[in-house]
Amino acid sequence: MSLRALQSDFCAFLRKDSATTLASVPTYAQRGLKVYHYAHRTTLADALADVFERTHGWLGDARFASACRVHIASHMPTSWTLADYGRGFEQTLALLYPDNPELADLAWLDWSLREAFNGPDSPEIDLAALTEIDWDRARLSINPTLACRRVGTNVALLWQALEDGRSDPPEAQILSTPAVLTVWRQALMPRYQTIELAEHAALLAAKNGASFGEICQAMASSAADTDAAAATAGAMLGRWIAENVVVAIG
Amino acid sequence: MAETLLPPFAGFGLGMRPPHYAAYLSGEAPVDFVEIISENFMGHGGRPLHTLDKVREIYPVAMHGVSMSIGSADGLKADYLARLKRLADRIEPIWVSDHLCWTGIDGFNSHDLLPLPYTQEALDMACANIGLAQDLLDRPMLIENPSSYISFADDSMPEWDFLAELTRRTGCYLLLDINNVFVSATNHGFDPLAYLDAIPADRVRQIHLAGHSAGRDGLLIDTHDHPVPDPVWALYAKVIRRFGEVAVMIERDDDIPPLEELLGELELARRLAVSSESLAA
Repeated sequence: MSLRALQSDFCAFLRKDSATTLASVPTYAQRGLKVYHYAHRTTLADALADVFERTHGWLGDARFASACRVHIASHMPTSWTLADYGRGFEQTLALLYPDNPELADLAWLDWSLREAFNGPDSPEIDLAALTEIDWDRARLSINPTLACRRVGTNVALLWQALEDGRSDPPEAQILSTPAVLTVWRQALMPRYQTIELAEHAALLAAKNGASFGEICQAMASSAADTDAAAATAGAMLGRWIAENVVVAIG
Repeated sequence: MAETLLPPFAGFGLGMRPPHYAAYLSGEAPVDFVEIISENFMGHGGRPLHTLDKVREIYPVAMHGVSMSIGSADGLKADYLARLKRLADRIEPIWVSDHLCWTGIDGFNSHDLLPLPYTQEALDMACANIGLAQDLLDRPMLIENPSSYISFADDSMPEWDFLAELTRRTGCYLLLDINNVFVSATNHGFDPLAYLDAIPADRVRQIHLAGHSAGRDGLLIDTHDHPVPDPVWALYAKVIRRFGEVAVMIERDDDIPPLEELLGELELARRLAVSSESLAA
């Protein structure tokens, strides 16, 4: 049997629901196949448990293990790094629990915090240099670790309660107004925040290359009070700089 | 690449694992080197690389990988090799090692160290892949003997001959895991001392010592979640002198105990190496 054929058969064996036999392995050595079959599933389930710790806490052991089995059966690991295996787990949860949207939101938050943890480094802004900037024409570089998700649940409250180990976490609730959850890393620390849709629109505009002047104009055009809109934009920019959401201004 | 001499590094080290980061960052851990799992530091940035940079200022670092898949009929992954090289260039490690195994094919990655058939075709493939990796990394590699739980009907040579031939054809060196020899010897019924006697001693640069567990069906499993057991210490004591100047490491990946416990095992490794020298003198 060629090496390629042997390895293809071995991988097909690993992906089966239960350990069987392999023609390339002599009868007396077949017992060892179970070790590889078991280790493959355990490794993937452990990787999911490592990343989705808060989701696991919310679901409980039995339901989380069941969700892992479904995900493993339907998602072939392809990346060189096990750290990538959790990508898309929130979609598995959305399919399994369509009436519990907080689960997919929680999983997205767990995943995005881990991604931010290992994401690219960014410089701190030199505050002294800001005095020379033409703010109308200034373009903002957004932190490369920033991830955003429109959420309809109180996921941030739930996640924090689980993080704090509270014995009485709040109940999952549907928000009256959808919001956007953002995740990024400030220095070495992953952070998350719930923001309003208007701020998210401004962030997207900045990411797409709009100048700060254009962002201010867009905010003013949709506000009743243009002075208040300008003040809001200024405060928003100040927060983005202080929290390293903006990493460079040019 | 033309064969490159890799100078020996004699010392006693531990794996760099999160529960003990503080001791390494402060420089208080009395070890001669640390070994990292390369893949844990191949992300883009953030705390892992920041921590490693700080530790590297204090300790020599060996890079030990689990994902190169040198036995895969698919060949090596360019993205993986590029990231590994970036890390090696940044850290300037004592050396870069990985396992005699394959991890997947046709886009599938099992994330396990799967056994190779010991055939001429597998040897040719592993040699080609190691040669490519060494060229790209611009340094010789260390290849570690695996623990295994099966053999293949097509096997045409023992693992020790396969390893010896790898070193001869590629100029690579060996990371000899004494626990893996013991586990595989028990599972397959060969003599571990015969295995160790057949290994080309001048190619061994590092030794791993670890624990294992008894699995179902009478097999030993390489779990790295127990202290080094007596039979592995006994093997180590018998053969350590043969390998001369090597880096010796206690490898513990699960149920990681307090650092003091691992340092105690490392001290035993040191004492056994010294007494082995004394007996020979």
